[in-house]
Amino acid sequence: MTVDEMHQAAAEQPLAARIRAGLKERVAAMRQTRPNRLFVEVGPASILEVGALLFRQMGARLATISGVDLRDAVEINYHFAFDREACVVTVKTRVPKPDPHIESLAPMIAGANWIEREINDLIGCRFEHHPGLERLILADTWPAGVHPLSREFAAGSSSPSGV
Amino acid sequence: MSWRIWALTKSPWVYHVNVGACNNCDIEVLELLTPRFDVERFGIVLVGSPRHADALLVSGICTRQAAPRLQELYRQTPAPRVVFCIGSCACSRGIFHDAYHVAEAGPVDAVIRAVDPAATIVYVPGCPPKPEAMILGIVKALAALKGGTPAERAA
Repeated sequence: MTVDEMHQAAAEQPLAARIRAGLKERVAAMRQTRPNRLFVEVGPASILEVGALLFRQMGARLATISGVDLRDAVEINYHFAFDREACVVTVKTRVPKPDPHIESLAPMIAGANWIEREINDLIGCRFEHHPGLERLILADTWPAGVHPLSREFAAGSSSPSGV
Repeated sequence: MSWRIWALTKSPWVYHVNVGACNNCDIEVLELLTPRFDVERFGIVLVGSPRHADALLVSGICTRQAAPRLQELYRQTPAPRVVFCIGSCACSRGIFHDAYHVAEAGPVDAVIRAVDPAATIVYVPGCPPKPEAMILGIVKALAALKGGTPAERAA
């Protein structure tokens, strides 16, 4: 073990160690920026295992999910709140474009239902096996397949055609 | 001055419509109606249906989804009627000017004029406007109605 690894092992909170032990090689990267803030990067294929471990086994709350369009990929961030440990764990995953899609957490976590529908509306990431991935937040007259917060949509445009 | 205008200016009943506001204007409207400013002493009463109202207090940018609803509310308000655009968003869309979710017809006044080109519209800018500013807007609107604007003579 190098000095850096020793420092990292010592700096890791018990929570981080537990998450690393549960997810093993699925963790692509992990960093603790503050005692109450932990970031875990995983591949999109292992999001169901992440939900099972953090929500089912460890009793975290899904605070919210956020999405960012990074041009070549859509980054979906799952924010899990550990109230007893006073720590928010953000699970970051990158879904490649075009046709971004990831497995839905809504069958496991009811609270993810509307959040995933909103991300699907605004960024255009599809959530597989969602119980009802219908339009949530865009107007009824908005054309299908146009996602106003995606990079393909021209900023400053007030027309759904994005021009 | 017709008896209808006389009755409206004597005691304008208002219906409060939010078409995409952040709620800050709505809070100031409540401040206006509740005992601190207490415009009820001037006969201005909040009513629960546009069919009972003389005026619409409209706050918000008017989103795509809300535009047809606002037009329907305007049609349901018996004439003569006044529309108050409360806040910068309702007057001009404010900071949401080029956003994707605003109504294609335009801000609140354009959406109203699509159904009634002769509509009487009062603008109260501010983010949010002070209740004093709203009272001033109401006073000016009532004075204009008593004088008889071109729009009202046509109605």
